[in-house]
Amino acid sequence: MTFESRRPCRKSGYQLESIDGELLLFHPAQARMMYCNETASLIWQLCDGTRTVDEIVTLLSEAFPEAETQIAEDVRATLEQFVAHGAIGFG
Amino acid sequence: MRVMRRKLVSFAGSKLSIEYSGPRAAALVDYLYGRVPPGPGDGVVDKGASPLVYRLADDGRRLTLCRGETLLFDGLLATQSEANLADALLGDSCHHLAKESRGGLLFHAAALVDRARGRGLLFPGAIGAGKTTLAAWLALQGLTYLTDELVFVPEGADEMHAFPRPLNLKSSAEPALSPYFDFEAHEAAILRGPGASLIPPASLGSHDVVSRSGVGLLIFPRYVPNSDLVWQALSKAQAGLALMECLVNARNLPGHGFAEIARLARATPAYRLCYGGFDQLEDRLEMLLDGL
Repeated sequence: MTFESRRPCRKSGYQLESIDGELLLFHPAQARMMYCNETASLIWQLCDGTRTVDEIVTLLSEAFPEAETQIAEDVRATLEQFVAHGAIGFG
Repeated sequence: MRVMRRKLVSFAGSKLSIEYSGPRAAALVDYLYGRVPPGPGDGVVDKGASPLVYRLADDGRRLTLCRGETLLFDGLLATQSEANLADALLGDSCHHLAKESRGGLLFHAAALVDRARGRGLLFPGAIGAGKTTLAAWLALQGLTYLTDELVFVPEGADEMHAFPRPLNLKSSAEPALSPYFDFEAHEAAILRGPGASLIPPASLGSHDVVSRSGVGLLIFPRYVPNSDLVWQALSKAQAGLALMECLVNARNLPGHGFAEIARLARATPAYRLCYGGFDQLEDRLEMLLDGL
């Protein structure tokens, strides 16, 4: 299975604060906090375990055609950041 | 028989008591905690103790400091002993106040008031960020010093309570301040320890005792030798993340203080300041304080 065909899913236990389109995620049990800029916030919300990475890229490319060439790379980098924080798993 | 007196230190939902006897001990307590607002338990010790009691005594020959039954310091009465004892007492008591703090956000931070613009400046930062040196320099520029160590924002409030204490300036930071502050002229008021010196705020021009202010501006400082000046506006979420990194009582707060952090970040403009020397700030200070 390729990375692009995997289905990222948010892990439970996070508290969210949405501020001006950006997100702060906090996991009380792990006392861990993560900052998401506007792009990362959108990606976070799309990680529901039903969409593949490819589908997330397609959705964002349709929404932001002017940034299409950059989106695949941004999605991968952001998901890697989420994985590093233990904030998502893959279904 | 010597009279034992008491200074009750109540701050950030936490409290402790310092019992002392002897003239040098009394002078030290006044030097360290004289700016802490008086509490109802100050005066002659009678009954009713706070959860934590420090006992500080000089018998004319020696200085001793105990926390409860634990001896923290014992030395001959001399300036060096006073500096070492002051370091031990201030460090230990601040640690205790932070550990037991509840009812709001307690930050590792410096704070000053910019009276010209009528707003308080909060400088959260980790150890080594340069908070004390920056606070000293800003006080020398005319801002009113509140603290260089602990700032409390009560839950739901829009004001900050500073823990007022002398500035604890590392010896390595003195050269950066020397062009602006005549250390020699204030030598009598400075308590010099092996690696740091305590400087009374009045020596820097902050004569008024101020410990509370609104929070008008968040500035996250970082001193990096020889670096260029960076003054960067932070988004509110970025400010929230940076605030969380300087929160020292998260474990005592509902939800680790996360919702309160977000509230403060939403309400207050925030900047990151990286500087390599005060010469960079001199010309731009007015602009920076305007929050531009």
